[in-house]
Amino acid sequence: MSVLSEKVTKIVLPLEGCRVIDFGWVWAGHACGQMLADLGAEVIKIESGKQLDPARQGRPIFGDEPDPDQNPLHHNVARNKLSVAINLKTAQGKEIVKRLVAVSDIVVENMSPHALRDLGLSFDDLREVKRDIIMISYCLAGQYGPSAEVRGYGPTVSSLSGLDSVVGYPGQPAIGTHHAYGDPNVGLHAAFAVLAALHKRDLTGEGEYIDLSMWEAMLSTMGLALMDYAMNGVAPEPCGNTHPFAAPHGVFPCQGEDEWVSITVRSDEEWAGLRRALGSQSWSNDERFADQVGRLRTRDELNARVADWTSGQGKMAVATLLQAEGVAAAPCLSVSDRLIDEQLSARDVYVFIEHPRLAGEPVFGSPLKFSETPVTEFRHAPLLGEHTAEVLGRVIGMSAEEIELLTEQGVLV
Amino acid sequence: MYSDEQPHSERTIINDEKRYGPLHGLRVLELGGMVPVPYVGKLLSSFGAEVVKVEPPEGDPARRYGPFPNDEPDPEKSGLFLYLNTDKSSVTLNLRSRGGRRMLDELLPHYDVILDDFVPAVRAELGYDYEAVRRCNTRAISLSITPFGLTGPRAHWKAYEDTISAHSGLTMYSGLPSREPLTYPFFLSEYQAGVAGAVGVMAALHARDRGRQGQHIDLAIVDAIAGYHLGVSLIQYVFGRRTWHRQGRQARGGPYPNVILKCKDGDYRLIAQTKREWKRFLHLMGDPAWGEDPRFQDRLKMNERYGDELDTLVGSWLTSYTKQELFEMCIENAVPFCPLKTIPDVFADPHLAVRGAFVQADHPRAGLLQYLASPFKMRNSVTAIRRTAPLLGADNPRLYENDLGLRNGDLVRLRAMGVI
Repeated sequence: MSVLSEKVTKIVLPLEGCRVIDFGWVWAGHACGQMLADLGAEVIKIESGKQLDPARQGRPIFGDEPDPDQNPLHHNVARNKLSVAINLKTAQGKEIVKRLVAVSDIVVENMSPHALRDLGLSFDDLREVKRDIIMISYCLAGQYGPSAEVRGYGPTVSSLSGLDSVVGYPGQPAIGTHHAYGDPNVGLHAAFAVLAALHKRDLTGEGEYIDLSMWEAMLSTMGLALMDYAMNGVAPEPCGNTHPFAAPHGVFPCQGEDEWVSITVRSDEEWAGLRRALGSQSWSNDERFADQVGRLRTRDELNARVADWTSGQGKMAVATLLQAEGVAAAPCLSVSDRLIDEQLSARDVYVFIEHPRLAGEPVFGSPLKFSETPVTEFRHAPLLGEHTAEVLGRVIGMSAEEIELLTEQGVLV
Repeated sequence: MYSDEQPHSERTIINDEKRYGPLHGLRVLELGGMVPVPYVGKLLSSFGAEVVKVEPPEGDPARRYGPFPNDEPDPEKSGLFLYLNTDKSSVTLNLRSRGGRRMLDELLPHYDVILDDFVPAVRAELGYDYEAVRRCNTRAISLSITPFGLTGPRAHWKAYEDTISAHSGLTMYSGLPSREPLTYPFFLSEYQAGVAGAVGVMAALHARDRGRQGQHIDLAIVDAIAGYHLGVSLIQYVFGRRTWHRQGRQARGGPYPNVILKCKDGDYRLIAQTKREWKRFLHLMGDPAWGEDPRFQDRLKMNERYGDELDTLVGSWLTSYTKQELFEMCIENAVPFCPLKTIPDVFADPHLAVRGAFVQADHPRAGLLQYLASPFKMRNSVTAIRRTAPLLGADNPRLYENDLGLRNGDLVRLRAMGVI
């Protein structure tokens, strides 16, 4: 059943003992394995210099020479993983993959539909070497359907899901987004699914194949929009930072270049708090602002007044002052803010690790804070093929000579 | 059960409890409302776990959020609640009453997973912390999801979704450079924390199955976004590389194209990392002469210097075609561009129909509605919606008898005392 031959009584990380074969590529493909690796699974990334993952390409962090070990995205999402170089186009390469799968629990992939099948490494192929293997495929639109062959990038999912059509200023055409929201989103959903399947396998001995599309994983996080249309036929429109029952509400300008604070007032109690923070500004006495209905009716004027007040102050000062009065407010943090922010630092949201190419670098840590099995170790993203010899020797007993020969033959490259 | 090729379009509600999900047998107590904790519960329940919502007597706040049919508020017809709480039971419990707080302690031993969204002030008020849970159940996995987490100088800060988005850094990512940045809508950040929390729960269960006891997981929504979504930007910043700054519908920092342009009936996203993709698109446009312009060969420079001009050239071709026409052409020619679908487009999408992405379900008060089906298509398990969202407290009799041996007379008394 399980690859564990005995129960480990005092495991240190929650997923210790779990082995994952990871074919994931680009951000989305890395995100699932990253979760599992952080949590202590042995995540073996199968990759090849012959068909270099775009996540290892692009402008290097330092200098101008292309370097597969200097992509900042890769440094973040490949951390804690092991890299084994295998050329999947070779027959021996496929055999080695199968030998690895035979002693693994989970396989993760996000190639285009049928790509692994064409390589002879589909779920049905792998099940022959490991009867209870758990495998997930999570490409853009899933394994089947009229648009299954769609190509795209992270932001594609935001467009296909309807999210982009709603991001914009009130009454203005959609602006859309350029952040690849769908990538970490699908990675998280995929990690959940394979761990749930693993849970079932531990009880029943049965493996599982999961087909998850990035598109539907994204839709899964948009319940509010979908339900409004399903119930009322209402299609949401760009509404900026307005809210149906909050006023004042929005993102307000502060002192400095591109500095903003988010403020939300939803109740009379919160309005009273805002008024206390405003101090001597008598405009807030106005009867029209006294209750929720009145504030919603006068929201434009209210927001303009608040903006006047915030413009003269730093965003952190405004947020701190408002929070002291029980009002939900926060500075809109920029990347430089996030690096030094005291709350994010206290939570180890970012950690500094060493990488052979860069000495010290910041990568994101683990937001999941476990009381008994804390996640505190972050090993640098592997160099391409860094662990080929170590893994193949330890996990499937290949000799150093055999590994050297296969490398020369272009199999382990 | 389902082969790769079988279309899921005919899937409806599965009423056969024998087709078990992967988490059948797992018992989950859900002490949280709105989005983050209920999304954990929804993921677990969709995989077959038994999820019991413990709602305050006035109900989960999501019951008051909407949307509502015809905009008529009704705590049994809130769209957000209906979506997030499929396959769950509901009991009411007033945790602020002594009797209610005691009943919670009596329930805890019966559950594998306890989910809460209690911020530090609420934890103090209720006398609820992991130690209190552990005393009742040493094997329970206790997950707390709060805006800032339970530690840190701002753990006491008040937050709604926009507050969280701002502090995570996500708000700065979208909008026009000349105007205020735009928050993401629809509680997206809250869903991220939910799914991350679900991963944490499964990992903790894995540890528990291997000799560990229960434990606590403290998860901040801000951390989930600032980390998983926006962590990448820090290396670039620290090493003096260009970092992202919002530019409206365009992104000029990388190769051309990376922009949203108008087409005949809406908006279209053009994004191509590789030269080959760009060439395929030029070919799709009939290889216009301007494609050979020496100014338009270095795709980084052409984006930076001539982006607007190129947008006009490309745009004039795009406006001859609809979103759907373009989408089909792009797929056929392996061009990675796509339409900005609207929500109505999504409901009508033929690919999603074949995927069985939407399913009809009948709710006793809200009636027949279309719901998004579970996105996980599994070979050996079912993750379909089995039951629509529960009516408030509908499971009081069944659950309180099952777990605590209470009878109808007890419940009448407890209700009169304001405990349930």
